[in-house]
Amino acid sequence: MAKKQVPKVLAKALLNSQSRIVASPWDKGHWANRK
Amino acid sequence: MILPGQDSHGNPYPHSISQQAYLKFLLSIFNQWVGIDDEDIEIRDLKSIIDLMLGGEFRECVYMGRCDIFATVYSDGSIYSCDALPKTREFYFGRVNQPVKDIRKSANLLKLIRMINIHKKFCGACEYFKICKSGCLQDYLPDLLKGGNSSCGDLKRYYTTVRSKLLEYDLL
Repeated sequence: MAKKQVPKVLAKALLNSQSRIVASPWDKGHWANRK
Repeated sequence: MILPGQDSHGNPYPHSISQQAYLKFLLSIFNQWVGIDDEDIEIRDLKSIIDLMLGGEFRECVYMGRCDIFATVYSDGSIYSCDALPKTREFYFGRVNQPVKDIRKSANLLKLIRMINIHKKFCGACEYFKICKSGCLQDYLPDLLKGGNSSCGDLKRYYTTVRSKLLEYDLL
């Protein structure tokens, strides 16, 4: 059976999976949750 | 941005949605994202999970298991934990004019670290621990305060669905 073609978004995710960026709570938009 | 949100008793805020509803939303978005298949569309919450499953290191704070390293400095100089947590006395660590070493020794901070570590130990056997590192304290705090441990069945279903999709394309 032919292999299913990998969607472009998942192929891109595979290529980019070595990123070392770490996001902070600020980036997460937690300001919206301020008490 | 849509975020789940709940108070320290586990009740969703009036303007917010439950974790279960949020994860259902994420799964729906995930399926649509793969279906539309437009490389210009990037969804951070999904990106984090997929990157980690594929062996990457993109890690949002909620997947770091280090809620203790994020603090909030308020306009009056007070320092509390991450502002995703309630601004209550138990999360007060000190003031900006105190020496950092005193803040690091704050009984509340040390208690928070102990709480996180206990929870991590509980989560250690889970197959998804390497992904979520026990998750965001905001999500499991209500369970901890009730004396239990996090019930993250919905989160596991979310991870399982994403993993299944990656397996479907032989990416894992």
